[in-house]
Formats: sequence, C-alpha cells, structure tokens
Amino acid sequence: MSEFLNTQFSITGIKDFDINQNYDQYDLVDYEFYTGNSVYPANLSGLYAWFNLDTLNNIEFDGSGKISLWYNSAPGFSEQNLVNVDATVALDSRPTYDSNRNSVVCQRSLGEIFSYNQLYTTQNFSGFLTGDRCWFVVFEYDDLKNGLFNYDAGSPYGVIYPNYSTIINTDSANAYVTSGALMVYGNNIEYSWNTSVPKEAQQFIIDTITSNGIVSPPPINSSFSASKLLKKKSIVSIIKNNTTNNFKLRNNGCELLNLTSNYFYSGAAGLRIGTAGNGHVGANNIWNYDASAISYYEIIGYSKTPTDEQILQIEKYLFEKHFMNDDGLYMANQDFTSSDYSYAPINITGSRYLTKNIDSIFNKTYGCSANFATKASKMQYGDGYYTNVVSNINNLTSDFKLVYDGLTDIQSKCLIGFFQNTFEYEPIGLIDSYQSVDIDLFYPYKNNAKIYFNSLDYSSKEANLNTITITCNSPYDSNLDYKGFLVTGDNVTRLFDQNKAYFKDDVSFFKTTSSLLEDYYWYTGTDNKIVSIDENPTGVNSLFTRKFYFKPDLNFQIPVNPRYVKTEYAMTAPVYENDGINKTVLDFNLNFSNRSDKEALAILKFLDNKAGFKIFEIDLPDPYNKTINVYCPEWNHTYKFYNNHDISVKLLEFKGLTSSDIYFNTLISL
Amino acid sequence: MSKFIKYENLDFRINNDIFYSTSVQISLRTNIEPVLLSDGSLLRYAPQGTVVGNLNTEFFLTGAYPSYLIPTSNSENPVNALFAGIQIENCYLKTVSFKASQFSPISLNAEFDWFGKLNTVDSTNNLKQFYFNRNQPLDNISHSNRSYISDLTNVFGFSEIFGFQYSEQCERIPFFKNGETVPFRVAKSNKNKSVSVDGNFFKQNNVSDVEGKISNCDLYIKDYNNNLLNIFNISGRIESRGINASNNGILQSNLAITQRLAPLRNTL
Repeated sequence: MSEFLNTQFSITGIKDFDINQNYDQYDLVDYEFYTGNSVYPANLSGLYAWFNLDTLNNIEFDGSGKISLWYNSAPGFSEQNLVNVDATVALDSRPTYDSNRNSVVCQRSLGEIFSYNQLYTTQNFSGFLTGDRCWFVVFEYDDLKNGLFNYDAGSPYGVIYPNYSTIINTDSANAYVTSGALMVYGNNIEYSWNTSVPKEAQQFIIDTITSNGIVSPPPINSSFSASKLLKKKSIVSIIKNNTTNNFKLRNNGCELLNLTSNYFYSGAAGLRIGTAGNGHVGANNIWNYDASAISYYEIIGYSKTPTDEQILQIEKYLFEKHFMNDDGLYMANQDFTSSDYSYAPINITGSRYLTKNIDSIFNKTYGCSANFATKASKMQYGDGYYTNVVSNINNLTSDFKLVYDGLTDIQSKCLIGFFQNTFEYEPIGLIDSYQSVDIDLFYPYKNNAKIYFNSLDYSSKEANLNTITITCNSPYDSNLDYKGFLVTGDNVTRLFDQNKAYFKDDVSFFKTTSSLLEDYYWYTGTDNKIVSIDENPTGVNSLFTRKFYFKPDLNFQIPVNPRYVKTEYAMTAPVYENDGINKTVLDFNLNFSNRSDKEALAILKFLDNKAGFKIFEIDLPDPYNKTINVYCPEWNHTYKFYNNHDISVKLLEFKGLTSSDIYFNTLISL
Repeated sequence: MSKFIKYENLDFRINNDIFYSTSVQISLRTNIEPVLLSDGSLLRYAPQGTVVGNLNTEFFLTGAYPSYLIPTSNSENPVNALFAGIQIENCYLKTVSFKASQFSPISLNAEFDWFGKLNTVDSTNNLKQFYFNRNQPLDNISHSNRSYISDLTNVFGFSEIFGFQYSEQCERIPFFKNGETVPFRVAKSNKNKSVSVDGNFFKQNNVSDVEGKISNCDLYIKDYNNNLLNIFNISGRIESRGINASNNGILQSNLAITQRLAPLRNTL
C-alpha cells in the first residue's frame, strides 16, 4: 500500500494485492494494476493505429446520428480510419455513440433484422501490416444477441445457432473468422449453450473455424480456457511476433496465452470491429451472425513486439484512463490464495474473491432509518396564507442511516476501511462529483439510488460485538421526476386495473385524460375486492382516495396556537388584538408506529409522491374530526423489525385552497 | 379413549450424540405488541422481535464432555437437538450448570435458545425403540462419589467440603438481516462462570478483600467408578461468604466465586 493511502485510513493491516499471497475473509486488499508508470501511446515507436474517444472530433456522425467514421489518431496515419460505407437507410449498420460511457456501441438493431453494426478499414489500410504487431483493445461485452443452439425456431427461421461476438478481426479480407480474430462466445441471458461458462458469461476464442465452439470451444491451454468474461470492461492485449511466431494474449493484465502458434499469423490486412463473417449464416441468416452488443473505448496498434515493460506501461495507460476507481481497496469475501494474476479483482476469477460490493458481505440489520426534509421555501402572504417555493429539482433531502449490527472485530475493521475508501473515489467526468457508492438501501426504498456516504458511527458492546451505523444520502434523486422517487417498484407504480383484486393500502396509478385526476390513488376498501366502475379511483362511490387516510397512533397531540397581536406597555397591562384571518394554522406531528410492510409502503409512497411540498387533505382524528389541507415538509421512517415500521410525519396546515376563506378584511379610513 | 405417551427413557440427542437425559422441555414465546389507532380501534399485533424458543434439559454425563456444551467458548455455532420426534436445528447454548452433593449423581442442566422452525414428525405414531440399548449402567454416570473441587489457590479455608454448584453461562444476542426472522448471528455476550461451595467452618480471617480474593479452582467430574469425565476450571474472585447455624443443625458455611471471561479483541 502506498504511503499516501496509508495515511488516509484510520485502520491498519491493509494488505497489498499480490500473487502467491493468502488472504482471509474480510481482509482489506489494496489493488494497483501495475506499480510502474504508464506511457503515452504516441511516445512509443511503431504506433500505427490509435482509435480513441478523447474528443468527439475523433468520430463523425451521419445524418441519422450514427457513427460513420472513427479517425485514426496515430501520427502519420490519419487517412487510415475506421469507416462504414455500406450503410443504407434501410439497412443502417453503423454503430452508435454512448455519451454516458463515452464508447462506440456496435449492436444488432431490432428494427433492422439483418443489420448489425460494424466499422472497418478500407483499402488504405489493407495490406499495410504483415510483420510484428500488437493490439490493445478496451472493450465491454454487453450482451450476446439471440441465437439458440440447435433450436428450431420454425418457419421461416429454421435452426438457430449460437453466435460469436467479434472483438477484433484483423483479417477482414477473409470471409470467415479463421485467422487474426479474437472473439467471445458463450451464453446470453436467455439461453446457455456453452457448458464451460455460467449463464450470461463468455469465453475467448481465437481464429475459430465455423464448426468450432458450438457447445464448448476447443481448449488451447488451461489458463486460456479458464478465462471467463462477464459483462465487464476489459483490456485485451494481443502480441504477435511474426519472426518467432510467438503469440501472447493478455486480459486485464493476466497472461492467458504465451505460445508459438499460427494464431494471428496469416492476416493483418485490416481491422474490423463489431462483427465479422459467420459460418452459421447459411443455416439462418436472420439470427446467426458474428455480431453482438459490444462497446469499444479505445484501440491501439503498434507495428512491433513491445517489451514486457512496455506492455505493462500501455496497459496501465488504458487502465488509468478507463478503469476509474477500479483500483484501491477491495474486501475479501472468503479465504483464498492468489496464485496468479487472474485473481486480480478486475478479472473474473479475482472478482469472485475480492469485491467492492458491500451488500454481498455485510447485512443491514433492523433499525435502519430514513429522514426526509424539503428545502422548499415558505413565502408568507399574511393572514395565514403562504406558498411553498421549490427552488431546485432536488428539493427533498433524504438521509439514510444504515445499521450494521452484530459485527465481529474483523468485520468492523473491514467495514470502516471500506467506508473510508469511498472518499478516495475519483469523479468519472470533469464536472461530476466523485463516484457514488454502489449499495442497496432498505425496504421499501429503491436500490439504484446514487448514494454518498457521509459519516460512520462505530460503537462497541464488547469484544467481537460491534455496531456500525453509516449515514448516507441520495442527493441526485429529483422528486419532480417520477424516476427520482425513492419508493418505487411494481407494488407502487402499477397502473390501475379494473380486473384486478385490490387489498387495503394497495397503491395504483390512475391514468386518465384529466390532468387533475391523473394521480396515485390508495385503495381503502376491503381486501381481495374487484372494484366496480363506480368504485374505481374517480368513480362516484370510489374506494380509492388521494387523502392521507392513514390513522395515527392512539396517543397523539395536535396543539392549537392561534395567532394574535399582543402589545406590551411599560406601565399598564398588555393589549390583545386580532391578527387578521386564519388565526389558527395547525402545526403538528403524527406517529404511525408498528405498521406492517404494506401500510408503511403505502404511507411512504404517499409522502414520497407529495415530495415535501405538495398539498393534500387529511381527516383530523376526533375530537377535531375535520378535513383540512396540509403538506408534509419532514418525515422519518425506521425499519424496526420484520413487518414492523415506525413512521412519524410533520404536517403543516395550508390555508388558501378553500375559496370561502379568501376575503379581504382590510378597513381603509381616510 | 385418551392417548398418552409415556417415556421410560428419553431419546434426547444433541448433534446426534445420545444424552442420558431425565427431562427435556421445549417452549417458545412471541414478542408482540398491540397497535391501537387514534379512533381507539385495534389495528394489529405487531412483532417486536422474533419468536424465541427455549430448550432446557437435565442429563447425566456418561462420557467425555462435548466441546459444544461450553457456553463460554469462542464458538457461536448452533447445535442440532432431537427429542420426541422434534428436531431443532438452531439451538444456541446459554447455560450449563450442575450440583455435586454427597452421595448423589450429578445431573447437568443445559439451556438453549432456539430460532426458526421445528421439524416435527407425529411422535404418537411410528414409535420405535432405540437403535441400541442406550440405558447406561448406573455406575457410568457422573456422580459425586469421586468428583471433587480443587482449591488451587488455597483460599477456601474449609477442612471439609459438603458440596458445590457450578454454573457457566452467557447471553445470546440474535442479529437479523433486514426482512428476516432467523438470525444470521447469535453472538455470545457477558460470558461468566460461577461456583458456590458449601463446607464446614472456614479457617480464614482475612476475608474482607475489597476486590475479592483471587481463587482458582478445578472441578473434577467423575463417574462412580472414578473415571474422569471432565475438568471444569474457574479462575475468578470470591464474591461472597456466609456461615449459618441452626438448632439441631450443623454449622455450615459457603462461598461463591465468580469469573467474568474477557475475550480480547482480534482484528489481525
């Protein structure tokens, strides 16, 4: 571990990642790709291909917004670019640009059945390179599209075979991918063909012939065959020495192949990305082709065989550029021995043992809580009238306390280290905050919120028995956008269905042409009832409501503090005078203790939907027993135990919605 | 006609080891609270904690003392208990105690908390005899005849010991993952041991040590034939002494020793 990093943590005992090292569960492991320096690609001789996305000027778009050209940034080779000159309006085979990931995305278009995206070099590049060469490619395999092994899809499709996904093909002159091609092959989310890899996983294949790889690609050596790819960004390095015929293949710093072979020997006529020819096309030209969903971040080519140190320097350049925050601290999720570089956490093998996924090794326990408060400004108009001014789209602040109870000492140390490491993350973009923490919240809050840790509270009961509470927040969820709601999921976002049986506290969104009536509604009737037309959310005998109909606990307080003017005099008793109208504006808190999961979900969805400033009706309990308008600027929720939640809400009465209240009472005397 | 099940011998097992048990009790309790609403109505009974079961058994030791019956050990693992067609997979030991008094067999008491489900079969049907003759000869069971307590620090002062009671216990604290009712960890806390010793007049005059007199004892538990079954150790402080005498009775004194176990932290 670096001296600097060591000073940033309050704990000790952080281990460096190394091969031939034993690690215990909950060890904190500092991972660095390569301890040497990186090198700028143009500073190494022999650079002939450099396709990067450092600036958008490096790509050109056609009229439909697709990429028609990717400029070669290698000095002296500016005319040898990746293009697609075959695209037509009906068959647009050009890739797209993903601005979120800053990548070129090649995938099959569902709307264009026969079309897959690709870029390739033209005659300028063809035949250019025949000697020693190497490629460094940063890509992300997204998904293997379609294809079902030996599956008869029926007429007109016939038998469907699994597909290859080509990473690069440097022998574009060859119709089939028999030389100079690196591909992945495996299983997609729908079906598993390849028995060597798990569902959704891929493995590398090189220079395959059409009959190979249908069930299990031919092994080259154990290390290569054991390499697996998941949907994850990868750096592959392909090093070919045409003099000795030595061939090296490296994936994320791990050497998979180092042997004398004809791989990548016969052809280096050009470069094709996104797809290549496929021998299965004859069986079914709709589904079977060498194409998939694959994204490219950067491609570098040299006309030489670099030294081992130069390989590491280039790989480190790409790692630092494209693997932001993939270095640093990892947690060991089990005991293991790192025997080679495949155990690095950026590799598939290593990712099974070293993780930054806090949810995979620590349990959030009961007592987790959430606090919400609006940042809306209250603008007073006098006479009890006011309005809420929402000054930004993130008006609702949401703070969460995540409780980790019952931790051993070793677990506590691990969690504290992980917590501190989140403050070492770097921003992904120039104007972004540093990277958020990938963590789930707790019921019923969504699991894809951008979470930032704020503070950690450690407490010890005795040796090996500790509690850690992490306070965090979700600052980028806007309640003005339904996707920013924190209470999401099918149970609270589904549309009203006239044929569905409803249970008390069910939440449903009612779509209608009236913007005044289109909203979330809460079912208040008896359980398991299919409502009639009259009983639907806007029916005359509706069993749904938009009121805050939840009954608070038996012990509640609603204070009444009327507004008046009290004038104090020095020598006499004070004078009390009326202060306009709407003298009483209620300000009270209600508690909803020990509520079930379902009722808590309904309450929290209601409050989430009101975003801290929207007005709604509530029936005050006896003895008040009156319907008033309120809004809820603050509420908090504690997940107390299984099927048991405590919720408290602050409610402020809102005057002004009822027209009869509005009148002037100002006497002007001359 | 009513149907009764009479047990002449209990087939009680822990981790499939047969125990010469004289009684087993299983119970459970919920932790619920009524929820009353503002209009006075009753909404529900809300769970405040999980259902906690209790298993209590008395048994005679007939062989080596098993390691899973040490409440103060570092292991927090549960044991599997089987009794009367009921299997409980997650039993967490809380207490082990016994009393040795003259001429009496030593019956040990063990108490467990348990969580989760019972795996039951109808114990009124398919009754079968034990797989083998598990009735132990009476001279094979733990007995006071040869068992004794050794005052290693020589602080008792008794010339004769009438009997002693030993207890070893801890608190079990369950921790639950959100949304679950079976704990992922049942931690041990507040581990302690205690022994009380009854003897004759104690020949000690310096008995008012404010920090308690240091005492280290070994308790040798043997069967009737002098076979050693286990040695319990307590290394603590004498926290109380007493002498009592009554008409037509003998003078008897007693002392109690307590030990709080303090495991060290370990983050290496």
